[in-house]
Amino acid sequence: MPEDNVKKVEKKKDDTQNPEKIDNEVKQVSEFEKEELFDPNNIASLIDKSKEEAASTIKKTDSVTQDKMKNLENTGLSLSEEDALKAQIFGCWSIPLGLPYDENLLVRIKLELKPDGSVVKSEILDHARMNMPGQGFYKVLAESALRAVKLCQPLRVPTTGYERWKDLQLNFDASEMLKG
Amino acid sequence: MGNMKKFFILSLLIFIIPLKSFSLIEVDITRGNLNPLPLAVSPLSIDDNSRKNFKRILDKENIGIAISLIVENNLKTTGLFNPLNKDAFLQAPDIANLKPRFEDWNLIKAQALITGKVDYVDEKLRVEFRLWDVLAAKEMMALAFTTVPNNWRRVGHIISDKVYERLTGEKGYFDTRIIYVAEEGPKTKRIKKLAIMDQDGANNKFLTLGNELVLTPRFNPTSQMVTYLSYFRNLPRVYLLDIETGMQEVVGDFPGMTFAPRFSPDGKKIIMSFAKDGNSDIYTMDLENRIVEKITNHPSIDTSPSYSPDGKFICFNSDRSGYQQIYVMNSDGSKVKRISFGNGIYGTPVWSPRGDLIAFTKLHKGKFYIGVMRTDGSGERLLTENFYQEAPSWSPNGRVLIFYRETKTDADGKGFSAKLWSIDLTGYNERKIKTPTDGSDPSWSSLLSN
Amino acid sequence: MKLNKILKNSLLVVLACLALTACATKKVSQPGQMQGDVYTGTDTVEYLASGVPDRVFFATNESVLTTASRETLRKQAAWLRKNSDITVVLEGHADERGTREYNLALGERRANAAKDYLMTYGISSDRISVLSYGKERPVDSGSNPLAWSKNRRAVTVKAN
Repeated sequence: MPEDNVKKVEKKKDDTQNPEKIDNEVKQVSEFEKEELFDPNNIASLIDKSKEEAASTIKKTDSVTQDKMKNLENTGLSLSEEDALKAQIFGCWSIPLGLPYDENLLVRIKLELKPDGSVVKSEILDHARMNMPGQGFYKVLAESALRAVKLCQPLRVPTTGYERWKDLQLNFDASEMLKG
Repeated sequence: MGNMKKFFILSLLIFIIPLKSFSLIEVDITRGNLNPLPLAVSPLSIDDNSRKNFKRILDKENIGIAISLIVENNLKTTGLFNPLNKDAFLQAPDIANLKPRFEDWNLIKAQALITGKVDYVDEKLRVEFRLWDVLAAKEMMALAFTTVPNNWRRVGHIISDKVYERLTGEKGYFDTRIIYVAEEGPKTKRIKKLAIMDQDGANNKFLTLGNELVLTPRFNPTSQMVTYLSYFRNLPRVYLLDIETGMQEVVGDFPGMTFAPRFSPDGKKIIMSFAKDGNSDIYTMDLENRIVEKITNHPSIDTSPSYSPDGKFICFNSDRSGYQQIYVMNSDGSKVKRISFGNGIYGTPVWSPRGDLIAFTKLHKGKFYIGVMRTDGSGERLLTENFYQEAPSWSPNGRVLIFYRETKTDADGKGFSAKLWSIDLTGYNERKIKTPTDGSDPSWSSLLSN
Repeated sequence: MKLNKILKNSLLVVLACLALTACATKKVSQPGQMQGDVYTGTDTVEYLASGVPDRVFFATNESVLTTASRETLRKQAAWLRKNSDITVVLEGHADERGTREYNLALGERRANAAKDYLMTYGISSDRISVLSYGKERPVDSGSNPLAWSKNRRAVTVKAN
């Protein structure tokens, strides 16, 4: 016990001799802290980690869409056609902010469209799930997706090839956005 | 046999043919706007006779408008909704409640609409309200209930809870109260009283006079009892207070300071620290049979215990490693395991009502943080940083944390204040909660209407 | 009327004096009053009797008694032995930079460290009770290391 004290006193002496360091102390010395002043970048590193995680999931979804692209080559929308449609719906969709980001919530809506892009019919593919107990979040997400479609119509569809996109499926997935 | 084969081929055809010829185009929508949902809270309509009656009883010019303002304010403070300015509303409240003209509400960009009606019936307040999906042009929910006129603020909170639940998929937290410590006077001679108020700061009431120091009040699961620390006769002990009757009693007969009390999730026990000869350990006392059990037995400081919602585990604070860290153990005290390993020191762990997270206070490099981690210590997220803040308490739905924050004094020791704040689990939507005096040690009640 | 004016003026003078002394003490309260982060000054110290300081100070998050603290407590023990009818309360305190509940425990630990030392110098435990205030009763309301060092203390208070 006594040695302990002596050691500490010596260590701190430097500080008191140098007035410039005192201001530093104001910020750092506090009850219950002292030798625990380790790595200054610790909190930053925590934040970085969460960013990395988000980045890797983005990559994953990217690769999924790329796979799909192959499928779509014959019959699907061109890249710019798809981008135009996506951009339009992004603007219309108010993501329900209260949703948990870590639950698997994907809402698939099948649309039947008129040549001008207005919606004849919209159908939620897992409709039964909407009214299942314990699926409150799914219902909320599904309703928000339906609102987005309503708000957006007429959809920004290609001027040609109506037969190709007369039926269209939209997959709404908010997990990336909610993860922030 | 032949039939089976035919059937098999036929079903194959059914599967394959549509896939080949149409191949439905799929578009992934992974982005949207994160703006709060625009909604319109129409004033609740009221006929002239009812309006006059409520004016006489409650001294409110128009109770329909007053209730709708409570709803509007509640929804706004969540940060999830954007209540639109009433000046832009085109439709009168009474007609909107019967059959909204959705085009009109669409025009002002409302995606949801709340309408309703208040009546004076047999000296009671009857309210009905509806939630409408403006874009789908349909009713999402309709409810009616009756109560005594004095409960008019709670009516606003209950409507808010119902709307919140319908639009977010989880229960609300508006028909709730906060118990806290009201503070006044100089920092060196602070006067502290127990105070209780509605979640939105209304109906503030003091429960003690300030003659003795009181700290850390916490509700029981039904929100009718409070356990807290009082320095009555300079003997710091854990007390129990019945809010309705005002009855108080000491918890247990300990030969020294008891502190850091909380209820067990079934409300039958109080868990707390007892300090003796420089050592603090965790104890429980059964409120029915008065049996005291020692839960931890360690020469370090063990304090700030909090049960998991299923009552099976306890998280607490110990400095057995040399500094304050968070530990989890079985509720009988076995299998103690440290869960906080980040840099800095950790205190005040509180188990979330959903059971999946533990909120805490963290001190690192002279800054205080409120954060959450999973119950195994992983996934630490720091929500807010400040000069001094501590003691988070969960909203009953586990979405919001309330805590207190103290300001730094200047060179003359002036400028000190203690205020209540709340923040979302997301780390957004930080808000100061208005209190008549300074405040600290907040504890959030359960939903009162259930 | 006149009296009122005089009163007002003298009040102003008093206030001015207060302001001046505040400034003066602030200037004095610079380094030299702390060793490590343990307070070594005498600003806040009161005396149980001539030459018997009433309090001891602690390092951050510590309840270990320093050499100076032990000297103070030996003086207190001698005084208590001389005045055998006196009983005392040992009040333990922490600074504002910790969570409230932990600080209550820490204050109790500090008060007991002082109590134990008095007991080794022959003072019966019957004569000493312990009371922790945690961070609830600072002597210095400042938010700086010097103020915090003054507040990390165990104070011996006469109980009768």
